[in-house]
Amino acid sequence: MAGNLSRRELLAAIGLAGTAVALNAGEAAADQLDPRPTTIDRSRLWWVKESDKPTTEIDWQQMKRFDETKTTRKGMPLYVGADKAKEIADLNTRTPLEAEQEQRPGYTTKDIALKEATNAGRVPMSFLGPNKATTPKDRGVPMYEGTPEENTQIVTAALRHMGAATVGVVELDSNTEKLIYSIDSDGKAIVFEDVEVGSEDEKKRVLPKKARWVIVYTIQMSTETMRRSPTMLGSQTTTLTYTRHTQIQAQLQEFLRALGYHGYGEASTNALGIAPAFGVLAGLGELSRLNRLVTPEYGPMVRVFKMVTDLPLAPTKPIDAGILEFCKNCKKCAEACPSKSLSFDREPTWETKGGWNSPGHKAWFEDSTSCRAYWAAVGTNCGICFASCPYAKSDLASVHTLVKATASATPIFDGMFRKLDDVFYDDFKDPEEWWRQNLPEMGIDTTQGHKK
Amino acid sequence: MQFLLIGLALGLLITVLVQFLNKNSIQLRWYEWLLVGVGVFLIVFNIDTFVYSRAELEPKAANLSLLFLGLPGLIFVVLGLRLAYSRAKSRASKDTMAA
Repeated sequence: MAGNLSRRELLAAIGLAGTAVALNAGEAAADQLDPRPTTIDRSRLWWVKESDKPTTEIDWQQMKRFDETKTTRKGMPLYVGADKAKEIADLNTRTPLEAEQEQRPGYTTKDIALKEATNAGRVPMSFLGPNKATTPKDRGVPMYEGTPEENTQIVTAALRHMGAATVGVVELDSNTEKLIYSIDSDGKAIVFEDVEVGSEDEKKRVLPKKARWVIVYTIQMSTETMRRSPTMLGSQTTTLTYTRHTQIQAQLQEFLRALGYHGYGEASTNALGIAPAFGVLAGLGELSRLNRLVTPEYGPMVRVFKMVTDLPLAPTKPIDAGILEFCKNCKKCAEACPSKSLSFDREPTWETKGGWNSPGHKAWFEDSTSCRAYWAAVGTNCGICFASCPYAKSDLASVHTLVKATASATPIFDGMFRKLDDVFYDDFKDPEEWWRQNLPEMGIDTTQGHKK
Repeated sequence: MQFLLIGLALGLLITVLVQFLNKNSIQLRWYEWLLVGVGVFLIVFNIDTFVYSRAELEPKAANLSLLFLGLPGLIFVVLGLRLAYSRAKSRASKDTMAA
């Protein structure tokens, strides 16, 4: 072949090959030379559009601060009666023991051991924080001061370094204050007072009115692990994430303290305020059919957390990534749910399903009592709806970006994408195989959703 | 790295193809170029999907992509080239008969 090439053809071949090399090298060089943005990096995914309003419709006039003890976490007896609630709780205890006796896949002794392990090492969670870090005053220097944009950027950088996935900010005003629980998970009231520093006693937690900003952040769960739902093996990625959160929250509180500010955190899991709501308003994702946050980067495979602070921050805008719109056609989570607790309505509605829901926004409200009852039947926090979500994907193959970007631009292919998801992907996998997969640390790709 | 190699291979293949077409005086019409172009895109996209789906621990998606992307890509390329080749061969026959 080479012998038949004319000089012109040889030069053309070299040119084409050189172009290929140059394009690849140029891309690599561009990554090296391109300075990291000094403003808030909200362009994490090019196809995600920022919006002044969230895709969830909210009636702030109707919304009131919610009593967290009314959720089914503690409030099951209110809805099913004390006897039934006890029966469900006993079943929840019995099920994993029986499953381990039978060595059911996902409930074998090693799976249970892993669940026990990922629950260990939790750092005590507190509203006020460990308060051990030195303050600027202790160190004889002025407290840190930056512009709100700079502050949001450094908080984002710090949180990412500590192990958070995505970070956003909501500013508290007369509307968004309603997303802070009126009564916290342990029965303490949360009140706003005109004080310099927050405080806590046996009856209440005090948020200073000057603490106007809520840092909202996600921590990634392992999609591959959650594919083993609803077994103990699948559920422990949730456990691990909550364990990691205890450390990240304490570190964030200490970071703020060492800057000269305060961070008012969650005193226990899912405390302080409505996490999915803050996540939506901070632009970390959209509300979905499974009535939780679905993020563009990880789908629902995150846990969402929040911290109130007096460090001035620049709020981050809600997003429109076509996710809520996709949910209208998809319904995969509702179909996968064994207890049929999720809504099959095409459109989200203002009507809540029960006292466990906070009214004042349009959502696909779920039957939380049947959902919790199913948790007891499997002895875990299930996760089937999470695992079945088409947005729960890695980002290595370009096809995911193509599908998500197209869904973000137009809903006309959503039905087809849902069907292709059914054909191409198995939502649930063999628990035994997990132990041989050699997954990365914590079962997650920490570069996912970010510049690589 | 693999995409650098794919880029080099593609460059080489395009050169060989153009050389072949020129040598045999085959001109592609716009729709034939479109078929070949779409076919090549599908094949390259399939390589991405196959390789990275396996990296994502999704072998089923990887294997199915060969059927949904790779095979149509191959068909488009062959069809585009075949159409051009048939037309060139037919013209050559007519020229021979006229002579």
